[in-house]
Amino acid sequence: MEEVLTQTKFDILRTGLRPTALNISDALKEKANNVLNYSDFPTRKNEAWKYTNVNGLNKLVFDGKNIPISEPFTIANRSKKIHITNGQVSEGQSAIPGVKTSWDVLPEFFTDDPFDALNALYCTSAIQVEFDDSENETIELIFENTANSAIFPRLFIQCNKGAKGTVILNFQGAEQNASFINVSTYVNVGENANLSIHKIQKNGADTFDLQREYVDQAANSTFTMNTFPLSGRLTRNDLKINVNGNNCETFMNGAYTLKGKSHCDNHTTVDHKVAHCYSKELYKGVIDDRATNVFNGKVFVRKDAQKINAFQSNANILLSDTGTVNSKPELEIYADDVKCSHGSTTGQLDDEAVFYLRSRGLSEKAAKELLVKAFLGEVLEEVENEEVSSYVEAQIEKHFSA
Amino acid sequence: MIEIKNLHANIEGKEILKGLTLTVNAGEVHAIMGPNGAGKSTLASILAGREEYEITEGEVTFEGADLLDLSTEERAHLGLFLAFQYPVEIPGVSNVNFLRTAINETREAKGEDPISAKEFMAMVREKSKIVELDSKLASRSVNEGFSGGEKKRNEIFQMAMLNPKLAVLDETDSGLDIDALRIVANGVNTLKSADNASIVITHYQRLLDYIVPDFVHVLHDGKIVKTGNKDLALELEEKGYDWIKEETQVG
Repeated sequence: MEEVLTQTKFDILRTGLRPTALNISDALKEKANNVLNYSDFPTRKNEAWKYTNVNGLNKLVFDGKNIPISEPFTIANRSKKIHITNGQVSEGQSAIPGVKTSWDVLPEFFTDDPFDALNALYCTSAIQVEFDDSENETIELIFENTANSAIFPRLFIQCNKGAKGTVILNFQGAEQNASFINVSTYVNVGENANLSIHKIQKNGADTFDLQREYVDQAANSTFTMNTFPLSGRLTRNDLKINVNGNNCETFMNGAYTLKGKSHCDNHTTVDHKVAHCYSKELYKGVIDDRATNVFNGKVFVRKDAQKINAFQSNANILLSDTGTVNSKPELEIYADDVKCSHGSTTGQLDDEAVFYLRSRGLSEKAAKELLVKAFLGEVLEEVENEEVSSYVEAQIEKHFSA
Repeated sequence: MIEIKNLHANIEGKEILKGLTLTVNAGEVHAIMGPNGAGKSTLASILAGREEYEITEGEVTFEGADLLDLSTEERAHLGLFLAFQYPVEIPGVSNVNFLRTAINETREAKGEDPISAKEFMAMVREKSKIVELDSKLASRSVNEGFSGGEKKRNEIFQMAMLNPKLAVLDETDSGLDIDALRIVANGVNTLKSADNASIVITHYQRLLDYIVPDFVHVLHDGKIVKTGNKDLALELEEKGYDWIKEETQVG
C-alpha cells in the first residue's frame, strides 16, 4: 500500500509508455531517472507552471486508434522533407545530406527538466539537422500524428560557423487526435551563422503538446524562432536562448488562435550574457470561447552585458467574455547601459471598427476576421519564409470559417 | 426611396428623436441642418444601424423594406451608405482589400458573382480620380495616418466604389479646408443621378454652396421644424438658429 501512496503522477504516466528503443548511455539514463524519481507533475506552486495544469496527461489513452488527417499539410514546396509518423521516422525515405536519423547511441544533451528526462527515456526518434554552408536550405520535419500515441522526438539542430539554414517543424494531427507530444530540441547557432526555425503546432483538439527548445548562440549569429500554436488541448512551449557571443541578433515571433477549451502557454527566456546584442520578441494572439493563453517572456541582461537592445511585446485580443489571458513580461537587468522595453496588452476588437466595416456591407463575422487578420498580420510580416506565412494565414482564415 | 415616419429614439434613457418624419425620393438631395444637439448625428446613426439607440416609436421604410429590422450590413447591401463624421482608422486592413470584400459581400447578398480582380482595379483607378485620392492612399491601411481631408475624401471614394442608392453624409464638411471641401462636394455631385439620393447633414451652410440641395430641413429638438429650399440655408447662415427655436416655442 505504501508504494501506491508514494507513486507520483509521472510514475502513473510512465506505466503507459514504452521505453526508448534507441541506444541510450547508462550515464544519461541515470541522470534522467534521477530527475524523474524526485519530480512530480508541476503544480500551481511552481511559478513557471502557475497557470498551466498538465494533470490531463494521465487521462490520455494511447490506444493507437487510427485517425487520418483529412487535409493537405505539407508547408513548403521548396523544402527537403522528412516524415515522422506517430513519432517514428518513416521508413524508406531517401537520405538528405546533413540529416541524421539513426544513431549508435543517443547524444548526451540533457537538462534537469523532468519533461526532458521523460523525452530522453522514451525517445521515439532522434533527428539531427546540420547546416554546413551559406546556401540557405530549408528542411521540413513533418510530424504526422494519425494515431492516439505518445511521441517523444529528440531534435538536434546545428548551424555551423558561417552557415545559413531554415528548419520547419510541422506538427499535424487530425482534429479528433488525442496524443501526448513531447519534444526536446537542442539548437546550436555557430559564429556568423544564421538559423531560422518555424514551428507549426496544428494538433488534435485533445492533444497535449509540451515542447522545449534550448538554444545557444555564438558571436555574430542570427537566430529566429517563429512559433505558431494553432490548435490543441494544451500547448506549452519553453524557448530558452542563451546569447553567448557579441553582436548577435535574436528574433522571437509567435501568433496563436485559440478556441474551445484550448490552453496555450508560451514561456520564453532570452539570456544576454555578453554585450552588443539585439533581441526582439513579438507574440500576438486571439482567444475565443473558454480558451486560455499564458505568456511569460523573460529577458536577462547579465552584468557587463552593455549596449543590449532588447524589445518584447505581447498583445492579445479576447473574442469572448469567457476567454482568459495571463501575460507576464519580466526583465532582469544587471548592466547599466542598455535599452530594453516590454509591453503587454489584452483587449477586445474595436467595436467602432467593426461597425465601420459592417456599414460598408461586411458581415459581422467577415469584419471580425479582417480585423483579426490585420492584428496577427503584424507577426506574419516578420516571417521571411512566405510559404510559412501564407500557410499560417490560411489557417487563420480556416479558424474563422469553422 | 426612404420614408421615415414619426421616429422616436432614445439613448441611455434620454429621448433624442421625438417624432421625426422625412421622405426622400430618387434623384433628390436633402440637407438636414440644425443646432448642436438637435439629433442630426443620431438620425445618421440610426439609419446606419448603430445598436446603442433604442427605437421607441415610428418606422423607416427603405426600398420597400423595414429598415429598422435589418442589420447594418443588410442595409448596406440594399444600398444605404453612411459617410462617417469621424472615419475610423483601421491599421493593417488595406483600403482596397476591404472594399473588395465589401463589394463581394454585397454582390453575394444579391446573388451575383464576385467582381474580377481586373474589373475591380479598373474601378479603383476610375473612382479614386473622382475625389483626387492618390492611388497610393487607396491601397494603404484604412484611414491610418490620413489627414482629416484625406479621410473624408476616402469616405466619398468608398461611396463611389459601393455606388449606393441613398448616401447619408454626416457632417462631411467638418474639419475640411476649402480645397478639400470643394473636392468632396465635387465627388458627391459627380455621383448624383436620377436613381440615387442623398441626405446631407451639416451644421453650416458652406457645404451647400457646393452641393445644392433640393430641400433644406431644420432639425430642432428631435423633430423637423421647418422645410424649405436652398434659400432657407442662407437664411439660417445669416440669422443663426435662435429664431427657429423661438418660432418653434411660439408655435
